[in-house]
Amino acid sequence: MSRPTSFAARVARRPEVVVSAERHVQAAPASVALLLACSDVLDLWPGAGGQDGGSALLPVGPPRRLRTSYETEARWTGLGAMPGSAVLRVSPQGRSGTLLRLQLCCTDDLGRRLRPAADRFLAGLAHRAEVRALAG
Amino acid sequence: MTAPAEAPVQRNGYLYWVTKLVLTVPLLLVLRPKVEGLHHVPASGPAILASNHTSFYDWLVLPLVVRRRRIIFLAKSSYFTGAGLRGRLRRYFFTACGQVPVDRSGGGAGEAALRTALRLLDEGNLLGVFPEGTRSPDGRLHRGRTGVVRMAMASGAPVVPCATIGLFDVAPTGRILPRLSRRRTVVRFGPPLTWPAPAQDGAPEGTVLRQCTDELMTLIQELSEQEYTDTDARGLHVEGRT
Repeated sequence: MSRPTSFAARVARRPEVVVSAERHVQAAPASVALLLACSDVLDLWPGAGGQDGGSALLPVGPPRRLRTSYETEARWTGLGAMPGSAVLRVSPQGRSGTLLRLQLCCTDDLGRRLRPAADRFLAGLAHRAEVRALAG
Repeated sequence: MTAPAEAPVQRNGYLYWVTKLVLTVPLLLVLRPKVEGLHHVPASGPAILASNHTSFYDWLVLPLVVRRRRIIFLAKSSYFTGAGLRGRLRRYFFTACGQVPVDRSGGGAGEAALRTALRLLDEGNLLGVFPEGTRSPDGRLHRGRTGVVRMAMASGAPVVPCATIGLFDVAPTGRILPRLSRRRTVVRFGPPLTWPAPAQDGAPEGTVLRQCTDELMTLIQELSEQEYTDTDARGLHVEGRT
């Protein structure tokens, strides 16, 4: 019978990397931060509803305001692997634009699998923010 | 028929002070509000208090904690147009409290209230506004309406974001008498915001108004710790009625 491995042991065996995904949005940082305070925003994460192997991004808290930007933390889980952490930073870029930067802390092989999901999440968030900004 | 130039407002608002005098002790005992950041409210001069709106008690608890200044609230016009004895009493109460009726039917209907608000700010008053436009039907923070930013840009007055916490549990929408709770309510004020007037004399663009309103709502969300939902609170009220 095999003994269950500890979290520390699993991390030591599978060192974590940071996977970054970025997206420019034509909307103000505060508008994006407001969307991030909605409970349904994480439904934009592919597989949040149970498809795609069931990976999900779970919020840790509402967005925090920093000096010029906003930051929110989340944990992702699923894909049959150990949970990892994610940080999404919303920073001003240009006259009225925003840069979204999502960083996932996970193992290397999992990072490669999660990268497309991260891109799709940011694209969905950007679309929602831009549609809303145009609506006035 | 042309729209009135300004909404009717009773200048002294004597009933505001009478209500405050009568209700201060009972409300302090029932709500036990903990106040944070009151120093952000200017002691004099024009300013706009922009608060979340989860309960009937919001407009009672804010005057309770802002002791030195009278807050002139913008209130829905139906409070001033009711029929029958109840309607007449309500109209008398809100008028004698010096509140400003706002026609919320959309388009240019609220222009008279906006003009009145600008005059009151010009006279150095403190206005109380609920940017969501109505009480939250579900306790969440709803999308802000852009009127408060229009007022701030046109007048140059600072907007003090504020939030009441715990009042939805005490008296949610539709409830008048408060539930007794062991939890203290909290009233938080944040640092004032100001926005520059539009470059030309014309009205600011809709996208600019939306961005500034979102900036304000982000601060209110941070102060209130409410979940945000990007929906119109008034729309939910209408759906609930139909």
